[in-house]
This record gives sequence, structure tokens and C-alpha cells, in this order.
Amino acid sequence: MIAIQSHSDEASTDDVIDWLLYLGADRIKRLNGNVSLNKETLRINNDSGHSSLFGELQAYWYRRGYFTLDIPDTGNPYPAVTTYFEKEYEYYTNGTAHFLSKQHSINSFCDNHTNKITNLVEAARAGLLIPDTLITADVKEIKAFAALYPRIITKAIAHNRIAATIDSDTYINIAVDTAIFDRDMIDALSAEQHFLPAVFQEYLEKKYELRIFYFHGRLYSMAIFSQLNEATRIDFRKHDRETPNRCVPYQLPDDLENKLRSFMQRIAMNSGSIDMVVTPSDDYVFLEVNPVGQLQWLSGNCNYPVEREIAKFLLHDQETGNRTTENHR
Amino acid sequence: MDYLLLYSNCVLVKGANRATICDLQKGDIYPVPKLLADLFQEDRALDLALLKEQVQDETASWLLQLIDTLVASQLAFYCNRQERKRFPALHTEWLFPAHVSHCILDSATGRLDYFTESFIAQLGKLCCNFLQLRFFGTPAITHLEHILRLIKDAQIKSVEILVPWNAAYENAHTYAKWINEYKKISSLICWGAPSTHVVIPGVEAMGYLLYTGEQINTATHCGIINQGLFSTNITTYTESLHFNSCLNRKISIDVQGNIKNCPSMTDSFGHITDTSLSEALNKPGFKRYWHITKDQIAVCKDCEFRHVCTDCRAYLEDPEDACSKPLKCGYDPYTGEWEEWSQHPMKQKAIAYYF
Amino acid sequence: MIRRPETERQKIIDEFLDWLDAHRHNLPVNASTWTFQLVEKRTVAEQELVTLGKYNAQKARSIPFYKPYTKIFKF
Repeated sequence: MIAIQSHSDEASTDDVIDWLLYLGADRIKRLNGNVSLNKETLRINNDSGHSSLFGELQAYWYRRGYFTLDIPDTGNPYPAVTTYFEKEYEYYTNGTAHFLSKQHSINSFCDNHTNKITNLVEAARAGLLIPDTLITADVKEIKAFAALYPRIITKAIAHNRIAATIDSDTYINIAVDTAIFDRDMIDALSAEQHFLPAVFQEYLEKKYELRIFYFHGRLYSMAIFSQLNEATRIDFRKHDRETPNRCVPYQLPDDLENKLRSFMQRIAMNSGSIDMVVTPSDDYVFLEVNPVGQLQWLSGNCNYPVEREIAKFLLHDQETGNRTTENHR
Repeated sequence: MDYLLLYSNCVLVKGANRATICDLQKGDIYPVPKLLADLFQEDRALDLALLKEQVQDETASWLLQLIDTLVASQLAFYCNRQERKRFPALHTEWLFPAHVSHCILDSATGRLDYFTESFIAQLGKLCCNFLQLRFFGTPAITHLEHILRLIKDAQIKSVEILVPWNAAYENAHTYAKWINEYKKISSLICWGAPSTHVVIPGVEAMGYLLYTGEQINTATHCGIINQGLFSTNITTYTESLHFNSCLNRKISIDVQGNIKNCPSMTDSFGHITDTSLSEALNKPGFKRYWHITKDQIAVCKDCEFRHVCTDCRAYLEDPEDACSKPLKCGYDPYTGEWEEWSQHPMKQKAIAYYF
Repeated sequence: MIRRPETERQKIIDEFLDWLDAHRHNLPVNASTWTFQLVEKRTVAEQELVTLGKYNAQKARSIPFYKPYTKIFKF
């Protein structure tokens, strides 16, 4: 069984299934969204392991979605019991995700817990350049930091969306996107006030940005000419629909590819989308890695066989996979 | 800066008289003079120092102006020698996971009785997810809705439908209802309508309803080549480099039920009542046209539109030559002029042969 | 569902802004860069989605073929 965990409206999953069917896969199971483990069984021992979710598992690809355990509402007068259930079963769902990640697999639900701060630390340790980064609520520190650079930016530590509920079908969507933290914003802060901390980074001038898809040691890189369009100068994900950024294949220098491989090994993530910046002085600066990044954008603009290679990996057809990767270089 | 480098998804295609830069990311085509096109090394990089050395005076300033336009149109950028090797050419493999990419079903009567669940399963085995249904006779509403319901839950991704325009259907709002109800319809084209116009524009090429005044009552109407049929994208471009841009991975069933590569061609590979699509596909000769690329076709090989264009092997300027120019193309790449193909004196013999 | 009138939408946003101003010092120090919009959920009915049988997929919109199927009339 080739097992895929995703969402029902996730286009790259369809693309990989196209390749799986074309290459002759006959048993594919795609689970979507929220997958309940209430009725499933996990068996682990020294010989092997088995989850009833997927029967005999040939390969596993985590793309989207999550495991849950539905806790029945018993009108329990002791909330601590319910809290205990929630905590207790979170270890079961995470443990199941870990079990699957140790199979022949790509990504895992656990990769969603990757930490941008940890990753900056590890990137620097792997020899990659990272932007000067400050995490603080101390206004004096922020002012001193801002004085070092022509401009600074701010972004979320981990979560960039807040849905502030108004009622059952209305909410205020708060976006914590990468933004310039300008002089006026800095001046408006009073040193006497006690804020919560946030992330600040030096603003990097960009020649272009890089989106690099890493997949079990292979790297597919794309240059994004975001500087051409004003709307995307700060954060290229803010796509201008009328004039999409020019996106083309990019060949990273070998030593940089090796550093990225070493970085991904350090953070134990077997697949992910890495964001980097190339500065006007040709420095390559690491920004972050996203475990489940957009694929069609990269494969579609660069004509990279990413979806086929994922399908081949799931089919244990790696010899041909490697050869093809070399061919396209 | 050392070079002007074309972005790798903006490809230079040289023709006899001029060239085009095909922007495969954004879907635009820019004609460029041959003089400029010839200055690009490997069709990608223009050495700026060399340009200043080789070209003098007015020509130089004219070329520099054109180069500025290319940069302003975001087709090319300036880079140095070190950077050039960081921007490889586009990978040219055609990446399309299907044994058959699309299927055309013709009906003279308005019925497609073989279109059942098991027929859809046959398409599924071939990884065929795109369909075109061409009705030369009016299908009964119940019959077409039965077909659309079968498609609804199947692996089929989209279907284009051609039907004769019918006043009673129009009055009952049937066409708009189909578009609203069956979301897999990419376009519904009603021919023989009182006027030609877009009724529903659709979104991202899905759910498009068009009325056309043209009479499209047989497969012999097929094979037209014009600019409106160009498709400027990576899939079309890479396919055209290696395969025939019309017939590759195509399967069809003509009005008689014969399984063919194309309904307008004579070779049949079995009848749908006794032959499966896979059987027909694997018969010798079925794929004989799949590898005829534009670079092998007379005249097309000198055309600057050859990698965004379709093709036709059913109606040829010289019916005896499998690599002859498509009959219904009125473009002359040697002069850069479009003419009405049916009026052309050179084509009259072939027109008499086919029609 | 029916969208709220504009005045009511504005009222919700104003209340949110007032809350934000009153609590600025209890929020992250970069809260001045937050952007926001009022969203009224419109649940897409199941039958509005496009189903791709053996892919176990349901999509908001299906995809067209990448080139013309036939060249049967002039565009």
C-alpha cells in the first residue's frame, strides 16, 4: 500500500497520483484532512510495526492534514479528566506520526512542529549565512538594532495567521506577514511599556530570491525575480496576480548544496522547501524552511520532474530516479 | 554586465524571416527581428561586449533599444559571467503522465451509446483524463446529462463539448444549466448559432460557454491552424520538441465507431463494439504519427511559431507526403504574412483531393 | 449565508481596533504591522466541489487541457 496523507483539495497530491498511476501503482490510499485514530490499532515490537490505518505499508507520504482522537463529550464534571485525555492522546497521535516517519517515507506530521528559531541556529551551524536576528520585547534593544541597519523587518516566530472568532461563521483574519518595521513604528514604541516579544531581522537587499525544494538529498532550485514587482519586494508569497514574478531554474554552487543537505540532516527533515536570498553582493542567505511548501509553482515554472521523482520514491524505484535527476542537470 | 540572458522560460524560436520569444510562463509571444535573434549564443545569451565590437552605428543603437525593450518586458536580464552558469536552460523533457492524454468522441446522431462506466474505466487505464465530445447531431437532453453524470464522479478532469445550437434548448436555458451543474465542462461550444459570441466567459478556462455561427457538421472541419489556437506554455513547448503537437497521445472514435488516432484520418484500428482502446492503441501503426515533430515538417520547420502551434496530419498540402505542411495553415514564414488558406492557388489541388 | 450590511461590518472592525489600541502594550511589540480583514465564512456545499474519482480528491475547480483538442473553427 502506498499511503498518502493530504487534503482533498491539494493539487500536488493529484499530480503525484497521476504519476503513480502512470507508473503502474495499483494500491494507493489517500487520507484527507482530519484522520481519526479512534478505531485504529498500532502494533510495535522489535521485529516490525504495523498500523491498521494503511495495512501493509509500502511507502508513506505526508503532505497535509493531521491525526486526531475524538474525545466524547460525557458531560464530565471534572475538566481535568478531559484535559488529561487531550494531553494523553496527543502523544498517541504524535507517536503514530513518528512511527510512519520511520517507514519508507517523505515528511511527517511532526515536521509541522519545526521551529524557525531552531532552524536559524542549525543553519548557521551548517555554515550557511543567516540574517542578523533579534527576538525581544525590549524597546531599547529594538532601537539599538534598528540603528545598525538601513531598514529592519519583522515576522512571526511560527504562526502567521490568527482567526479571531466573532461568531460561528464570522472571524477577523489577522495576518502576521513579513513586514518592514519602519522608523515611525519604532518611534511609536515607548520604553516604559511592557510588550510581548517579536522577531526582528536586518532587511536584506535582494538580487533575487531562491525557493529550493529538498527531497531525500536532491535539490531543485528556482530563482524568483521578486524585485521586478513592487508588491513582492518584502515577501514574495504576496503574489501580484497580474504580473507574476519571473521564476526560473537555478543551479546552486556545489558547496552550498552540500551545506543545505547537511542542514536538512541536522534538523532531521527529509523533504522541505527552503527560502533563501541572493544579495547584490552575491551572498546566499538562508531564511527558513517550510516542510510542506507549494510544489506546482516550482515544478511548473522550471519543468522539474519533482512529482515524478516523488512517485518513483514511493514505488521504491530510486535507481531510475537518481539517473533522471542527473540527466536534468 | 557581460550578458543579456533570456529567462529560461522565455525561449527563442528562430524562423526563416524573423524569430519569436515565447514567454512560456506568462503565455505571450513576442516577434523579434532575425538580426537580433542571431546574436544570442546557444539561443539564450547575448554577449554585450561582442555586440559593441561587431555592430556599428545606427544598427547598434537600434539593437540596444530592442534589448532595453526585452528587459522592460521582463523577457531578459543583465548578468555577469559567473551568474550565467547559475541559470541553466529549461529542462526540455515533456512531463505528462498519460499513455493517452486526450480522447475525442464524434457522434453524427447525437448518441454515444458506448459511453458507459466500463468505457470510462478503459480511459482510466490509459491515464486519460481529458475528453472532447463532438456532436454533429443534437443529443437528447437526457442522453447528454446521463453522460455528464458518469463523468461527474470519474477520474475525468475536464470535458469539452461541441453541440449543434438548438432554439428549444436555448429557450429552456439548458446550456447555462449544464455549465452551472456540471463543473467538469471546460467549454461548451454551440455551433450553428444565430450569432457568434461568448455567453459565459468561465474562470481560468473552465465553464466557458460559446455560441458560434459556423456550421461544424462533420470532422472534415477540423485541422485549422491560426493564431487563436496557439498555446504558449511549457507542456505544449516541450511536447512539440519531441512529439507531434496534434496527434501525440491522442485517441479518437469516429462517427462510425472506428477507433483511430484522429477522426479525420482514414486508418482504423478496430471498432469500439469489439476492440478495447488499449488493444487499438497497441496495434502496429497506431502511433506512427506521434513522433513527427515540427522540425521535420516542410515549411513548419522554418516557422517561428512552430513550438506554440498545433499540427494536422489529416489534411496536407501534399497528400502524398507525410511531412507536408498542414493544408489549412495560411501562414507563410518566409514572408511573415497570413493569408486565407482556402483561397491559396497552391492548395487547390489538395482541397479537391480531400473535400 | 447573507453578508452583513457594511455598517455592521465596520462596527465589528471598529470594536476590534479599539480593543487593539487599548491593549497595545499587552500585545507583541510588532503588532503595529498586523493586517486584518473580516471574513464571513461561506461554506462551499459538497455538491459544488468537483470530484476526481480514483484520486479521492474534491476540488474547488477542475483543470482544463493544456492545448486545443481540435482545430475545428476559427477563434
